[in-house]
Amino acid sequence: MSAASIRLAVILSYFAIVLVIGALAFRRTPSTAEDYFLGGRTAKTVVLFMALFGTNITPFVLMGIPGLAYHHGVAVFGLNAAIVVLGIPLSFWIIGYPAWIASKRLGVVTPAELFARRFDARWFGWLMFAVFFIYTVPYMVTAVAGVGIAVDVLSEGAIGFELAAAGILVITLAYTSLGGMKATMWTNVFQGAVFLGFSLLAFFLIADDFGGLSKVMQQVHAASPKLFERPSDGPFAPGAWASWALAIALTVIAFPHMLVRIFAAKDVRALKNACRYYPLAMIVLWIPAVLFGMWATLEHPGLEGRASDAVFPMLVLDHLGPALQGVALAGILAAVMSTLDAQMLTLSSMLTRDVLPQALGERHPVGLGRLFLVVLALLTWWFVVNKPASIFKLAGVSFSGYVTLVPTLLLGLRWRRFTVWGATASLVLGNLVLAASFAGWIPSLGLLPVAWGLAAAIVGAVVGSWISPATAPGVVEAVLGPVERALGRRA
Amino acid sequence: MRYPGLRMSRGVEHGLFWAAVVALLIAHMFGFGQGQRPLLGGWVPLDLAYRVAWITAAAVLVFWMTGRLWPDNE
Repeated sequence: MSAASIRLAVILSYFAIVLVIGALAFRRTPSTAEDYFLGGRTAKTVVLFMALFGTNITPFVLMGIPGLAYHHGVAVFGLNAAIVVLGIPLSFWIIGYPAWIASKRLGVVTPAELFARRFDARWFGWLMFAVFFIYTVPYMVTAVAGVGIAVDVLSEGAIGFELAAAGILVITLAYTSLGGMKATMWTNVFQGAVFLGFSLLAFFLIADDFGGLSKVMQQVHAASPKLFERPSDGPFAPGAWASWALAIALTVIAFPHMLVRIFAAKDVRALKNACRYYPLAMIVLWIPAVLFGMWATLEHPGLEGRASDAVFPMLVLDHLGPALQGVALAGILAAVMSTLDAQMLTLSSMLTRDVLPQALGERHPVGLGRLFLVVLALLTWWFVVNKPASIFKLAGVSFSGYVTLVPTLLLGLRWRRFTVWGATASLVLGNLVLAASFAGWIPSLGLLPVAWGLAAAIVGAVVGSWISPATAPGVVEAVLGPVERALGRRA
Repeated sequence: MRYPGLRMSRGVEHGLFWAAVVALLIAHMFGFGQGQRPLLGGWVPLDLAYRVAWITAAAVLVFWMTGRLWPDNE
């Protein structure tokens, strides 16, 4: 059996397992919108954690981080991984928990629906959908582009970038449109196990093939000592470092697909346990990702720009046999699919419930959702084949955009005086300033655009709420009453 | 709630928790250059060891938060 056939057999086995899980979920999913989009709100600890963590892990980690560590070394771990371990649990507690309570009490399925109810303004749901859509599509592009690169390298050019990108979209589309949330959560448990397991296995096997951990690290230290120092420029300068910490710590709670997965939690215990598992899982995944990038400098020196996004599959090709190369690809596919499915499902649920005319959305919620998934997949593929920027840069734009939603999410669930005009001013102003900052129209003063976008969003939220009339007390009470009682602020 | 009748204690505990969060955020701004020093255990860069220690401290805060500050109410 040739190496290519072995790799193909492993990948086909992986796809077969994912599709079988999707089909089983399809058979067990009633056709109500709550079951299709939220899996009936039954996710317990392991399923919820894998769904949240899987949703959080994309080629940004498996491809983009080794690519960045190839250029900048060990400081990439501090830049990205550590702060997330604190930021994600804190934001789950402060925003995710009240959002989960309100969504459960009101029976809402999407974040846009929750905030439209919070302000009694359906049009605000459209605005939220627009912002979520604008920043989710580039994030999806990073995922699919990552697969394209990995398949291209690991198949040694036999399967091209465009074909691989189309393939991943079609398969994700198939199981997501069939089985909805239940399918995505069940497959995420399997996918999470695949990419966490493979990442650890590859770490030790590749290190062993280099002659051991000590040997490879000392070789890198001798050859490229600068990879062991924190650079003082670019994203590592103090202002940029602090603002990127802000972006990466706050962005996750504003992923619409993350909020929807929080809504799917069965109970508060599952939410808390998911937070507790995060630190260990982050260490297991991120240390190998950063060190892979550093090791690749020994064998593939001189890569420039986004060419370094391919160093992880290059190492796999150099050091592992064909079966494990197949597993590596399955691991990357797993990371991509576990995010892509959630993104697709969430955008489609928001479209059918929050954007389309109510009568239409209520009559055919699942059918229309599936139709939208096809259009979304085509749009993503078009962007991918038009060769976007590096994975890290695209993710940076996307993460920064999501952060402009954080003041609305927080104040909408914690401040009774927060109004729909405050929220609108926050989203509009935050995104205008963010765009102007990315374009270089306003001085950065050493900070990244995300810091200016967030500051503008906060100002817009507070000033907009102060100068606009208060929301009707009954409307606010319907959403915040249960939240405040759960938080112990009211009897 | 977890602490009926202990409002002040709860307030103090929240204050301590957030002070610890701020301390960790400040610590996040610092790091270690390797220079000519040897790798820890022969393979761990100093900055990586510092970050893992930071994550361990953050994990302690997460357990504190989920165990004592985050209510169980639904």
